Amino acid sequence: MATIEAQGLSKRYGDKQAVQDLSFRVDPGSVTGFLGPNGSGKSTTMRLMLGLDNGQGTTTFDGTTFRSLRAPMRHVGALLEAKPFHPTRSARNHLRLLAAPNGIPSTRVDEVLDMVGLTSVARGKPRKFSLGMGQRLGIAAALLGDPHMLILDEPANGLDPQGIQWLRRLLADLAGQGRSVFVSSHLLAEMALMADRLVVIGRGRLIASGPVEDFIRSSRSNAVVVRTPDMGTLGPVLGDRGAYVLGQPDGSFAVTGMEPALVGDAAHDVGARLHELTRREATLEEAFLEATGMSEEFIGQAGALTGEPGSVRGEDR
Amino acid sequence: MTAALRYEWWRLVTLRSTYWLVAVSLVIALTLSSLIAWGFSGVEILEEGPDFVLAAIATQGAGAGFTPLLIAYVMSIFGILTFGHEYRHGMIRATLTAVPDRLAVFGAKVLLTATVAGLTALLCALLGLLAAKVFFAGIPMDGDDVTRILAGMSLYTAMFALVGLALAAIFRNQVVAIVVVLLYPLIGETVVQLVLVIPAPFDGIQDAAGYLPFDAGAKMFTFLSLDQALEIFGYDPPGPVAGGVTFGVFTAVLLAFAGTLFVRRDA
Repeated sequence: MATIEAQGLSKRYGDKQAVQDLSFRVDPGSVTGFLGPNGSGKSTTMRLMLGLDNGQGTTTFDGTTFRSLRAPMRHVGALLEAKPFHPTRSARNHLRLLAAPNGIPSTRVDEVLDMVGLTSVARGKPRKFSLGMGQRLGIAAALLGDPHMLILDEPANGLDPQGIQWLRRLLADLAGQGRSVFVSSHLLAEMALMADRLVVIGRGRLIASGPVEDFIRSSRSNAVVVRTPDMGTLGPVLGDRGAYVLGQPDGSFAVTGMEPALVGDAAHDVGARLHELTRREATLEEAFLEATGMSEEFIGQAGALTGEPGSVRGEDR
Repeated sequence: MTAALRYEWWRLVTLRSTYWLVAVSLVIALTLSSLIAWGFSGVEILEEGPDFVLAAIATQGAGAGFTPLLIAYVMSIFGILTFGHEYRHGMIRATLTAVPDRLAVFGAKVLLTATVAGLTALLCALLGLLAAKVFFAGIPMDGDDVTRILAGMSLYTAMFALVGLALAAIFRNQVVAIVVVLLYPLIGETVVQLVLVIPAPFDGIQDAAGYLPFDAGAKMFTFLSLDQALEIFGYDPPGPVAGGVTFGVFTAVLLAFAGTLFVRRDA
């Protein structure tokens, strides 16, 4: 077992409700992605989970709160957004410092340095590290205690494409070993490849949680693409049967609210010729933008820059 | 608590500043004490004066009111960095994910800061006594005076360093803490003391000057100071024990406030 369970997490900063009554679970053997627009409370939630911020609600790791864990790094590995190391303490000493109170042997320090590819700069000063190297040191610290639960805030930040691919494999391996991995990222395409499950928040509130496929399937951007010279006859029938048809700039039609097979049947019934009948799946990005659209904090400003709010995705209407 | 102590110990031994602050203290002690001892060695000491001469040498001038206790200021920076580094570099999040018990983290910092600062001061005082022996062979060394110098200097420095630690934890900013620690005892207290003691309007409350914490604490190791001059105005300065208690209470209150904030605030 390595279940992370958050119950009723809430946090206010003065007048601003940063996180409100957030509850979710991270199950063993899964990479659970944590998505939300900038400023939606992801980092605050992670700090609340680790007891770094004081707020309402509890988070338990195998039934115990973080503050009550003995040798916490052996249970929970954490990477938070800021680069938390002293600029002149060598990478190796930084890890030995974290290992000491958790009863982790120094042989493990060299092991994780090797895992993240920092062995050659183990005695180097983090001051001279690039953003990506700093991030690798942070990941090394999270892995130090061989924990069965991981909380990673934007671990892909600063990594190059090879680094991101390495991270994706690493997280998949860790989850494959039965660990729980809770990871936030603003790189949606990356998240689509990395995560099995999602927790989506907007303005500090839970918007969705569950398997990635379910989340994507719920998007209105899922459609059946139809190419036909006979839309004049087919269109009204589709409309009568509850579908919604929208002309596309390339001359095709996007049919929503109906399965491809039923569109084909309707075409057969009225004798319409079909030149194309394909399912078009929404991307995680489309599903995310749609789900968080109403709670995007800065939508007004974005709308002001691009003209009429919503005109950016005019083809959807 | 052992986990927190282990963490704090590793934190200190893997920082360059720990070594150079201790080294600077020792170099100051050895150089100034030797210079003062050498200077005094040519002077004929009056019968009533040897205790303050010994104190002047062993405390780098502070025991005779020549200077503030310089090594206490150096070690206060050591105390400030204990929390200053945590906030300046965001280490505090790493610290609290490695050791989530905040009270233990705070306690370990207090314990090790006091120990390192106190031991450094003890070494400095011993170096001072050694300089007195080497450069001023004829100086009388009364056992009680030696004990008072060693204990007074160590306790004062340990508490001074803890004041620095508390201020850095309260302000969460090492620059502000350094400015307060350097300016308040040197300028603030001296001005308040003179204002309270000399002019007539404060006649009734001039003894309040005896509760200025840093000045009171310094009574632990001073054998002669500005107070002697102020006594002509009727000011009755505290003794070494009373002064030490005043500084101790001040330090404890500041630490309690800092500790409470540390436990309650967001990291």
